[in-house]
Amino acid sequence: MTPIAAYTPFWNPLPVWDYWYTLLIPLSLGISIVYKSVKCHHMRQVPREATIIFLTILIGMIAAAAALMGLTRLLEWR
Amino acid sequence: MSSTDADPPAKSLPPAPLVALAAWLIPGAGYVLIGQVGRGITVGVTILAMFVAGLLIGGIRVIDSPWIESPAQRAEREVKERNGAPRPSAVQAVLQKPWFIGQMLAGPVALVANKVGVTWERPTARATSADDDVAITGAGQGAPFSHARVYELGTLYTAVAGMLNLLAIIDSAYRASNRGNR
Repeated sequence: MTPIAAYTPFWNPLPVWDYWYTLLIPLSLGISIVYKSVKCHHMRQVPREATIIFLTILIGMIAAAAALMGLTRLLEWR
Repeated sequence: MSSTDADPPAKSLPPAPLVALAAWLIPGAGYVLIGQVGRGITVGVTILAMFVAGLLIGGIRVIDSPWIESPAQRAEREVKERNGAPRPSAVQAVLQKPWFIGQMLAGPVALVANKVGVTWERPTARATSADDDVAITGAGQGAPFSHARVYELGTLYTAVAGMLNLLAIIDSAYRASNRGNR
């Protein structure tokens, strides 16, 4: 039986062992929407503001991951 | 101006503690009570979606309260206590499972999920004997724990949902005491 066929919602963890980091994307999106819904004066500002902060978080995480990968490679090389 | 905008109707608003309680009971309800329906629905749906996503990602046992135990966990604790192990204080118990503080902020849904998790018994195998077709379960264990990375992510999703709800609780209560404005 494949892992996805054996998956029972709420009982087993989601079988995304090799792609777990992609689950950070919806998490960032949710945080962006709620944070900007609380923060913005008018709700019509929320889609634009949430998109900006979502992309900022995403780019920040990618930059941090790239920097840490570069540092690891550098330490391995030395 | 639509109801989704910031300015609420110029009428008396419910007291802040009531708004805070409603916001904890149902995420987003605090905003609805002060007339900001669009904001309440957006916040509530997003927080609950994140909470349910956490349960789907990590399994229902990502909600792990220091006080709600499965029968097997209770039996294990009682054996330890009979053998002289000290019972942890309330603070120690919470510090052993600190994520629950965040998860609990999402509202009673966390407590319900925890209770379901410790009582849910799924048959894991079936007896082959014809006169004994009772399902064999992990007696009293509840849903299984996981040690996978996705379990950590499920815990993170549910705890972040709770902490975002804390933000919404404080904001909606403050708005209630400030005529709907920040």
